[in-house]
Amino acid sequence: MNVVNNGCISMTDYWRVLELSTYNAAMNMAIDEAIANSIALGTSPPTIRFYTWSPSAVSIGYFQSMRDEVDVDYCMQHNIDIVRRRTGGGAVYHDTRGELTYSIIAPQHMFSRDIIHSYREICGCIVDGLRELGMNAEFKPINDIAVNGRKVSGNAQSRRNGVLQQHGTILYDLDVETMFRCLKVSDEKIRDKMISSVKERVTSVKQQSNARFDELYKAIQESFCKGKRWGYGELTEDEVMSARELSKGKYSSSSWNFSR
Amino acid sequence: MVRVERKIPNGKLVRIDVEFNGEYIRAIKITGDFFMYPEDAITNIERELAGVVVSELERKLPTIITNNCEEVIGFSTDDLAGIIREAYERRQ
Repeated sequence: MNVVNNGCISMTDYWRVLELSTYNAAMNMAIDEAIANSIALGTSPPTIRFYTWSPSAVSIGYFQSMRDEVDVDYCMQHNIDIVRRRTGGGAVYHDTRGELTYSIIAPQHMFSRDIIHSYREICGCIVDGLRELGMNAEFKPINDIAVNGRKVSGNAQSRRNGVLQQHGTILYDLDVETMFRCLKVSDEKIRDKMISSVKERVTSVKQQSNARFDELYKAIQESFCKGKRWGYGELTEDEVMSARELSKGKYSSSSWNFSR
Repeated sequence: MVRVERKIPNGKLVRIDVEFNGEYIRAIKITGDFFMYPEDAITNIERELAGVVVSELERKLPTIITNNCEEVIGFSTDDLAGIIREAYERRQ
């Protein structure tokens, strides 16, 4: 266990860190929910989790409509998963090699009641990690992080049953063309314009630094853990069973993914 | 069914699909990349908006929102009322 006394979030509780793992979209969302449920029951500690997606996937926000946001046929034809998140926010293309995703799941009382402030607290760790790698990163309210003014990270937070769950992505490499194939653009003629606009507004760690993916992961993990009592852990058996059920029963179902 | 979408300045995208029965909202679906806490509140808000007279939106919408959720990030009740009104005007 590592004990550090100062850092971007001051915590006295013990944190479990789940090291980088790779799952499909349904399982990734199911694991986050299973952890949140365990924390609500008091059977698991506050948790920081890192993951990637295989195959690549598109996730949409809780309030979004899959049919409005995603070219479902294209995704099916190209083995790209689709899933609806339990958090709000926008549609995200999760390239299997192009991003690092994290979740931070903990009792709500450990964070500010003010939602924007709690975004700032958690995103502050990512900002610090990116700065450690030499990038000019800053938090951009409501829920983004930018490097040199261009978005590099999107984040979404949910609060249920006294548990705060925030997950977010840090773009390592950018594949705007595939992203726009997966996401719906109302007029084909403006697709090219939108692609160039996104290329101007969005960036990646690879564009902004020489950091390798493992260096990004290490920097973000260290920054999240700074000031916390923490140790590496595993999912509990209950969490694994619950995640498998949620993956099959909820996050793979049309009734959930297409419910809006 | 009338669809109106609006990107709120310094906020999020809000899209509504709404059906009117005369001056009443018959059914409404609110989608977008906004945040609402708790998330499940959206279903109650949509249900309670059904039956509201458009002329009473400004009076009733704040109560419906505050009775069902703690916080909305990305749009205000005025924004939503304006979008519904725009849909009502388009429908005529």
